[in-house]
Amino acid sequence: MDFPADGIQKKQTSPAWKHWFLTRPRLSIMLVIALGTTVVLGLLGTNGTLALWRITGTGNGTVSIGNLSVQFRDVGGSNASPSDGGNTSPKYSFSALSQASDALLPGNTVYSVFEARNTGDVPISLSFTGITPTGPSAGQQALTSSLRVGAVLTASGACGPAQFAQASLVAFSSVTTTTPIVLNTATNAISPAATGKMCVALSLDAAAPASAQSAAITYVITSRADQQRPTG
Amino acid sequence: MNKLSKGIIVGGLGVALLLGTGGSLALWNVSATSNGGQVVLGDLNLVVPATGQTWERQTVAGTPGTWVPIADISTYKMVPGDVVRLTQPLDITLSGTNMKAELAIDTSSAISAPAGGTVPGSMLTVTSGWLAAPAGESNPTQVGTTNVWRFNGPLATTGGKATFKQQVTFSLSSTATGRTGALATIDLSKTNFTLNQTYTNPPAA
Repeated sequence: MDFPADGIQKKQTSPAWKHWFLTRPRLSIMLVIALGTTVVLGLLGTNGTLALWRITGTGNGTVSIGNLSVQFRDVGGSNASPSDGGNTSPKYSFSALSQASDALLPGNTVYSVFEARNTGDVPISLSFTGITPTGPSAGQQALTSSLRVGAVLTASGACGPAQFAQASLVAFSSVTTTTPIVLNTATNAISPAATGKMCVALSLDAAAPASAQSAAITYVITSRADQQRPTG
Repeated sequence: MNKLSKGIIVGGLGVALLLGTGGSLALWNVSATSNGGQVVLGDLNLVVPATGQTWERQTVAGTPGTWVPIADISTYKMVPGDVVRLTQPLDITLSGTNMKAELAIDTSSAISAPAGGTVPGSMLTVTSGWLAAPAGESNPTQVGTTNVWRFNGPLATTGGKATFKQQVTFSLSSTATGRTGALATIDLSKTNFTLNQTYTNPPAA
């Protein structure tokens, strides 16, 4: 033990914190217990260092989700819409029907065929869910009101009166999302990579008014492809 | 207190300390090792083999819900309404007298949308179950209706290791709108099988 130069050991002064604890023994004990409890609860709460065993493994492989896509085109493959329109609507100009309808007279019906190719991964059925004509004049509106349309899927590609009964043709305005023209159903769904022949009939009412004479309109047919569950 | 008393007290304390530490008073002493045996730790392990998987799908026609094999999952394309099932072997080790554990499957990151697309999480539903347990073992019990399965003790097989076959079922919602989810993928390398030890103090002997 070292002694100061004057040979008298002086009483050392306790640090302030030590003095505080020594003068408040009960409070000090409670404080220590509280701190200890806090630490234990903290460990439990974070689930940190209680260190139970744990191991993780991962699976292997990939499952792909398919696509629904359809391409419209003329018979023979020309004048085609995109094979996969993605999330946009593929556009197709049905020129064969336009040409056929040039000679349309009251009471006449013209027929045209186009193709729908299934470019997706699931069987599909098709329907027309709307026909939107453009032509604001009185003559054009008279023509629109006098037109009837029908459509059906044909296995052979044949397209004529035999595929339709006149009564099955409906007015443009009758074609809606709730009352669509159904071209095919699950029973004759178009399989992936297969092509369906779509026969479309357009007739002019025999009682079409004279104001419709020589009128011309354009119209957009909105078609819809629905997934059909594969059978088997 | 006089100096003599202080000296006696200090000396007595010194003797007492020496006796207490068994230090240098050189009385007889002897040491021996106890033959208490060894303490062996248990084990917890999980291996997801890269082979041995099988895939099935539920039929639509015929007897709906019948499971039929999928020959090659890499060429199979799921579509809304499809239900496919993976049978995945899991090599599980659980040993230790008080070993308990829970196996959890996390598929939350498994489905990936194609570029520019989105797939709502609700589109894919994942459930799980088990093929028959290996001989001498029991399959774990389900925690509620979750994909967490509880082993209530160590495995009975020697070494505490056995291969269980878990079945994980993926259902693609049939209420999809438009082309939602088209061309997405379910990447099983992002599916985690986690085995967590769970511990509760055993009752006092």
